[in-house]
Amino acid sequence: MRMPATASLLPAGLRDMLAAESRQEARAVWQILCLMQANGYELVKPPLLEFEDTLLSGSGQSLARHSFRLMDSLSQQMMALRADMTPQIARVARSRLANAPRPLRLAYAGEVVRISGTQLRPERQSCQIGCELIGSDSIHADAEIILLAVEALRTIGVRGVSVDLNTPTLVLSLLQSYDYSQADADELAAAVERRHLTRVQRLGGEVSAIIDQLIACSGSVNTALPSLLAIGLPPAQRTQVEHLAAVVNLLKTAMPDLLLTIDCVERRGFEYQTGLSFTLFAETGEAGRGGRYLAGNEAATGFTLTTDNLVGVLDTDAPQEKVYLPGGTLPAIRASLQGRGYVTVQALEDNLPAGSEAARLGCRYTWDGSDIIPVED
Amino acid sequence: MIVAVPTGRILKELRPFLERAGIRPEAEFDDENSRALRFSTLTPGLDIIRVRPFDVPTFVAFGAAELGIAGYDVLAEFDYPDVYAPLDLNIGKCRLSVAEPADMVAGDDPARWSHVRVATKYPSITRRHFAKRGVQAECIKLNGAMELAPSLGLSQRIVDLVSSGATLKANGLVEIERVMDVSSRLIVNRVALKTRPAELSDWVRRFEEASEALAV
Repeated sequence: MRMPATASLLPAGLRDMLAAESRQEARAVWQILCLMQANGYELVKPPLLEFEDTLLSGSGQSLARHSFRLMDSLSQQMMALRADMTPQIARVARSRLANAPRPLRLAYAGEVVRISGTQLRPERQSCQIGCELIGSDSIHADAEIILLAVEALRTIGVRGVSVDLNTPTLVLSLLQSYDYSQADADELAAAVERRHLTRVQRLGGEVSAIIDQLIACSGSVNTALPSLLAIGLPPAQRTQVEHLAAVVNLLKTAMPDLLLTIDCVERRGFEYQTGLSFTLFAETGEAGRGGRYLAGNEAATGFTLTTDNLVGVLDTDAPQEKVYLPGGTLPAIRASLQGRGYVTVQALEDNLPAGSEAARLGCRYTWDGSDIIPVED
Repeated sequence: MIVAVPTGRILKELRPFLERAGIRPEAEFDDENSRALRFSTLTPGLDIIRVRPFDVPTFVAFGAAELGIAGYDVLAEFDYPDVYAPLDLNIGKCRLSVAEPADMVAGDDPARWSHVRVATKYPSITRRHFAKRGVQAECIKLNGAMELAPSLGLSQRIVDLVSSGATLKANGLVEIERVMDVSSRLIVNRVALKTRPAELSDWVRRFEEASEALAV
């Protein structure tokens, strides 16, 4: 019955999820979608594959090197498999829902696949859940998305949620305003992000002093925000910091117990973000991220969670007790037992002894015609 | 909380920093013959582990250790996004350089290279370094004794750490290009820094103060 072991080998980064984990994932997805729906976010479901030209244009550009391609033999065009659903949602908002009233609130959940994982996160397929708020640049939109993300994590039982608030465009725009070329600014911003301070100090001058201060202003919001506001920034960057401060105020009022941290130099993973962004942390690690981007030319913000970060962090729920039903049990009885929270397992053969069959199939009870009785071990 | 420190020569230089920063390991830590890998400190809840220099960033990237001390060479080789290097301790200073046999230097024109074969402990840095100027580097990964490679025909060039240059000279090699300057950095796990900001920033600050005090 068992197939040869080598025939069951899966490609790197891909795996079979069995009962406990799949149940956890399905439940988490369902609970989060219900929460989004209840908050006025409409569900949409774009396809797994799209034409490469559409999927990887605009905000999808940064996904080009993560996406699998295949040839569409019908249209003779290249198709790409989605590595992130956010650009698809932005496309839906600009096409099918172009005439829908703004702000537009959309939610989605689906599988995404990327060409390679990282050493820290080797999974190449995961389930992405997210929501997008399109057509508003208000601080209230930022706060709504962040609060909803935190609530989503808490709803599925993630403990110790904290939010790191980021301004991924700040350092880059600062460097460009000091006449660094795009390439130099990129390289420097990467060094800044990893806190390679010697690299920053070599820049010298005013910009190095500002970046030094920006790096020093990371950590808990209570200490970091006042010193961040005290830095003498050029007007364009000043506006970004003030936007951040306003959002922090809203978040603190709405969820006083939420741990907020600030990191103004973080950029990684925010390739298409255009403004205030955030990373969600659970005690065990990163749980999701989100932030401002452009959906076409509309201001938008949103967040995404990927389940491979979450499953395993969540409590495992106790599986429901199973009842073995002998042949001929009426459907009404099955329904009533299921209503009482039992899982029913229907016998397919009449002539097998109920007790031993129940034990073999992992059922703790059988049905004797009038009530459930425990199976003797 | 766990601090990962590298075994070997850096540890001696590092010892006063640990002391100044308030990390006082149990006596066995200083016993070079001890087989133990994990040691307690006078600070409750703070342990120190001794691992190979190349493994420090890996322990920290995966969150197995929250803090660590690693050379910039090793950090750049792995380039883990989840490792922050907030502080240069200015110890373990040396440089990573390209070297080739002395008798080859005169006739060699780097502008004509399209492909080089290099023996190195740092294949990732080496590939990136040569790719920047349009040269494909075929790396032969060695874990030591790189200097033997040219004379034995394994590869003509090597990329290796150089401090005084004595080892190169003894093997008839000349340093032709500096890839990067190297020194030891304090490194921090990103998730720990975000989720326990006060505790981790405090340790970074202690190392900063130790570094300033010892620099004078």
